[in-house]
Amino acid sequence: MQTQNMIRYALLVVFVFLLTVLQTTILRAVEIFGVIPNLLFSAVVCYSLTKGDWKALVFGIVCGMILDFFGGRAVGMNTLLCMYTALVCILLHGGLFNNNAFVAMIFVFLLSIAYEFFIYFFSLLIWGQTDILYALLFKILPGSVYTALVTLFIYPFARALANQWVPRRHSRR
Amino acid sequence: MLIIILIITVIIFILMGISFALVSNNATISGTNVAEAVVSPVQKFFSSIGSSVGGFFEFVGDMRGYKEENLQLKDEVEKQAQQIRELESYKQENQRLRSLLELKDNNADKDMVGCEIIAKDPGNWFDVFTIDKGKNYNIKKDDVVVTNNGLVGRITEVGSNWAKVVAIIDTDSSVGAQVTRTQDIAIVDGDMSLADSGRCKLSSVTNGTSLVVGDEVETSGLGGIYPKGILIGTVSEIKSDATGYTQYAIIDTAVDFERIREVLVIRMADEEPEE
Repeated sequence: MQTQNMIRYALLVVFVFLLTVLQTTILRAVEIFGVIPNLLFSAVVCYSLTKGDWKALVFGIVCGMILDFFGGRAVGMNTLLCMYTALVCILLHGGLFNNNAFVAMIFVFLLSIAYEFFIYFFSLLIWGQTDILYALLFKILPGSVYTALVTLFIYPFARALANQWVPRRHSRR
Repeated sequence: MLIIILIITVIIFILMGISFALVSNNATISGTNVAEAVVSPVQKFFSSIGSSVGGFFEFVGDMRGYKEENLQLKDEVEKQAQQIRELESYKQENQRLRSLLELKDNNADKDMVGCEIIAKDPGNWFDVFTIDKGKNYNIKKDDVVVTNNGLVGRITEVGSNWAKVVAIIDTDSSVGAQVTRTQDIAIVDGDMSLADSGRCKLSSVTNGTSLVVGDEVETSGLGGIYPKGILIGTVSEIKSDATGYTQYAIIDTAVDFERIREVLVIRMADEEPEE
């Protein structure tokens, strides 16, 4: 059982590693309207919605730190936001009527809008980049839609990796 | 009866003798000529039908061979197209590297190192990218990054074998600049709404400055980070702010940030790289 858990953690690490590499390299080649999806954020939401415990919080913190590290800005903003996102998903986990890719897409879309807005507010708006309409129409909304769309591909993997720790509980439903 | 047959035989022999003599002398026998003239078109017609029919059956027989040959040729064409694409890619890379080398040669007094961009910002807000060399090549914070076209940005963070570069179009960037034609001093700032189209803002320009579209803007050397005289871009629009007292300009950067692959880092220190 211990070995199985180790393998599952290793798979999770590989999953996050692949998403990070994709997001920082070849994803730039598939920009739509100048934006790319946030794969790690999508993974945080999908994983946390399925997992629903403190491990999801750790997952959120780790993904946020990765985003901070590759973002080249002060470490902390993405870490905090991803942690809070994971926390919201954990709280919603118990009340979810159904957990499927479509539900995850909606959550990713809504939480991504909030996440991107906070990034804009703290990193740009208060530093003089006051074109809120531009930020909303050309960054926040398209980015959130794109992130929600890629959730269709991320959700099965995130759910599989999250479910593996609690197979019995899931099978009772 | 026998006498008649004998006579006919003799006549035929005589005729054969005459015709043999004529053929030997390349003369045409009129009867043969008439016969050939009548029959030859028909012969030609049937011969062509014959060859067509023969050709058809030959074609059917070779059909499998043609198919295989066609597949082989298609495969060959695909391979050659792939080779052409690869060669085109190498050609472009060669041109880019050649121009960087040229820049390095033209600035022999500056200590430069060529780097490749290995990653870009994971989000949509900032224009930061990672290069493949760091402390191992003596790259330090605030070293200046350029291409053969002009200024790219500056180093903000350095690791053992990587470094982060903030582009001049990033909102966090501010470069001391001057208009090449008039020598007027200004500041080039990154702007969120301009960065997507690879442009930035030339601000702190007083109304007395006679900016015109097409003016080249270069680094002023003021501020202590960027050396003087590196091309930043050209003025594409001139605007006034809300107060009407100061004007600002939109600059098309000399560097195409969408297609940038390799850069040169100007190392400000005199130390030798640890290669």
